[in-house]
Formats: sequence, C-alpha cells, structure tokens
Amino acid sequence: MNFLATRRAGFLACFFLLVLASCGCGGGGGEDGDDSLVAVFEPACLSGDLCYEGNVTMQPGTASGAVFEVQVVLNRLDTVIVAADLKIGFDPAVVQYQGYTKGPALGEDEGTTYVVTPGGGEVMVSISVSAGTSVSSASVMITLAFKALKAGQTNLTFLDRDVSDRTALYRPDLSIILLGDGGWSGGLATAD
Amino acid sequence: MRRTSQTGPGIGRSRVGRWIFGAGVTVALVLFPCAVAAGTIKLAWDPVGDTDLAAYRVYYGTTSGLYSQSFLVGKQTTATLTNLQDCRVYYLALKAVDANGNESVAFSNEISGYSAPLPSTVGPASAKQATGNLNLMIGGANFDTQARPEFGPGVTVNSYSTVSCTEMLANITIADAARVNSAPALPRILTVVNQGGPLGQKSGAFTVLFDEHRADVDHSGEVAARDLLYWQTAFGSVTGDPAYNIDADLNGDGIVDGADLTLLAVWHGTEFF
Repeated sequence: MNFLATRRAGFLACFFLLVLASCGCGGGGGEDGDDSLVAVFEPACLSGDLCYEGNVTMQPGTASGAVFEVQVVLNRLDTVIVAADLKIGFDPAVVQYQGYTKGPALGEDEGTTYVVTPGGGEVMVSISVSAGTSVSSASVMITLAFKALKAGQTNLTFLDRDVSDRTALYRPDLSIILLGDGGWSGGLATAD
Repeated sequence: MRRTSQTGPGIGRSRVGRWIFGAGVTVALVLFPCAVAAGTIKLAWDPVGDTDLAAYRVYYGTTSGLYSQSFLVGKQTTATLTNLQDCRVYYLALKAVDANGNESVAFSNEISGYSAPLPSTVGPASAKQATGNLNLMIGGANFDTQARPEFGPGVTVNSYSTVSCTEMLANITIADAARVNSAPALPRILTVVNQGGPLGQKSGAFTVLFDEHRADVDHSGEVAARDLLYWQTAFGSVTGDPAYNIDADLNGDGIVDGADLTLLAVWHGTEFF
C-alpha cells in the first residue's frame, strides 16, 4: 500500500507536466545506477523477420551508457485501433524505468492520450485514440527509456498478452484485436 | 424558526398572524426565509396602510408575552435582531407607531424560535461517491425540531431528526456521480433550514470523495486504455452536450476535463476485485 501510495503521489506530481508538455515522465531515481555500465537491448524479433509482420515487437532505440531506449513497434496492422494497453515487465533489480516518448503510430497530438504508470518491475501504458487509426507500415507506438542499475540481464516482456486491460489492442467496438502468441515479442536487456 | 401558534399554511410569506392597527388595518409578521448570520433573527411583515404610521417597534424577549427589549425600525418592513444567544428561544412581536409616538394597543401575533441555525461539524466528515444510507451526525447550534439539512447536488437526504438544539441526525445517499469536493475542487456547503425558512450554512463541513471504482469506467475490473478512451471521447463536453458521458465525468463537476483524466491516471493500472 505504501508503495502504491508513493507511486501514485509521484505519478500525480509529474502527471500534469506530462499532459501539458507531452513529454516523457521520469521514473524517478536514476542516481543509483552505475555510470560505468553500458546497456544494450536485443529484440527477440528482428526487423524484417517473419515475426515482425503484423505484430507488436520491442526494438532497440538509442542507447547511451547505462541508459537505453526500447521502441514498441507496431508493424502494419490495417485494422482500426482506438486504444492500446501495454503491460511491460522487467527485473527491477537490473533496470529502472526512466520515462517515455510518444510514438507516431497512434498519434502524438491532442487526439491521442497517453497514460504511463510505472510500478514494481513493470510499466503500464494506456493509449487512447478518439478517432481511431490504422498503421500501414512499421511505426513506433511509444518509446520507453530504461537505465541499467547493475551488471546483469533482464527480459523485457509483454505481460498478459491479448488480455483485456493488460496487453491488448482494441477495435472501435472495444473488442481485442487478437495477435496470438507470436504477436507480441520483447527482448533481452544486458548491462556490462 | 419555531412558532407558538400558526394560522397560515406553512412558512415563507405565509401569514402567521394578524393584528389590528388604527382603523382595522392588518399586517402579518413573518420570518424571513433566508440565510442569516449566526445569532440573528430576521423578520418581515406586510406594511400598514394607515397614513398615521411613522414606524414599527419590534419587541422581543426570552419569555412568551414578556418582552424585555425593543427597538424602532422606521417604516421599513424588515428587522434583524442580532447578538442573540444560541439555543435560547426568543419570542417576538410587533407594534405600529404613529407620528406622535403612540403605539398600537395590541401586539401582533407572537412568533418564537431560535436564532439562525449554526451548523459546524459533520461526522463522519467525508464519504465517497456512490455511498448509500450513510448515517451522519451534524453538530452546531440552534437546530429546531423541524430543522432540515441539505448537502447540495448529488446528495439525497433520506431522513433527518433533531436530537437537541446542538445535534441532528441525518441519513444520506451520495450519487455515483456526485460532485467531488476534495481540494482543489470547491467545498460542499451544508445548509440547515429551520422551520419557517431561516437557514445557516457551513462550507467544507462535509466532503464527497472520489470513488476510485469510477475510474474503471467500463467496469472491466482494471483501469486501462478503454477507460481512457471513454474519457477522451467525452473530453471537453459539459452536461447536456451530446458527447457528455457522466461516467467519464469522474469528479462529477459537469465537465469532462483534465481533472477527470488526473483521477483516471492516479488509479491507472489498479485492479478491482
């Protein structure tokens, strides 16, 4: 409960900044990492592979020292999407969530709303698109930044895939667009 | 305002009694049904049509028929008694005064009651939206036997009773979308109306809190993107607009705005079982 309260208070404090400035929200902390670490993210599904087609994958973004970005890429899904939930899990002992940047896939203006809530070992992302949109080619839904806290590895995975209000894409009637077991793929973060 | 006698159908501008002034002119002494400051009683009466009328004298005291104090009020037809003691019954009557200072022989009818009700505390002092049959105790002063509490829009008073002049009981139901009053929203105003209409108010004595279950707009059991979509679809709408969705108006203020999104975001990811 204390954790939840702290999480909510912290989130509330930065939430207005997020909405108004449309920028990423720092996950707090960040001073306890080892600055000598170099972190890399390796996707489970590489761009161009069959698993990339019509699916949601995590792909590496920019990286600098211990901080690395993970892009959540939606590759060509012609079905109209009005909302998306992404529940991404990781080992909080190895990496720490730092913030996010809106991606173009579902929109970046006032017609699309992002709410991102970090928790212990997971980040919950909810995106709503009032007008709905479809994606004709690979496009980034959101970019998440992490910082390695120590040398080690952790999987970054989509939790509870195709489950309502966990990890799912939604049609205008709010039903889930089923991607199947292979439709969601994460990757491995390694810090040395 | 409690009265010792009543001949009219209710209070407000109803007539509570008549008296004869001069050649049979009648007036009606009534209580002023409005919010008045603590320790006050406000009276109003119909004007006397007699050409000799110069003023009125208001008599009052704490014993029926024995008026220890009085004051002139000119030709105006309202008067306010101030600095009255809480929970003391005051008895009031009126006489007309002519240009020579002669007062009418008879008093008007007598009315009596406490000074303005003075609500001060409510216990419990807060409750969430969508709360039914909540028993409250209201503390304060000058509650008469017919005193009626009001909590504003979205809160229904199911029953109420006066325990003493300093204590009332009430049973309320808070609507699902009752306006939330926790800061920075405006505080809710508690009103207590005594018989006859005199009323007193207290701001912030009772607070309607946000019911976190409302953030789960689609009742799926978790606050997530679909709830966000309901909010976004209704964003910017106000009560009466076609796009307005009361379920997305989480704080119940009549507009779907960023404050509702904030509530949704605070509870984002929460699972309800």
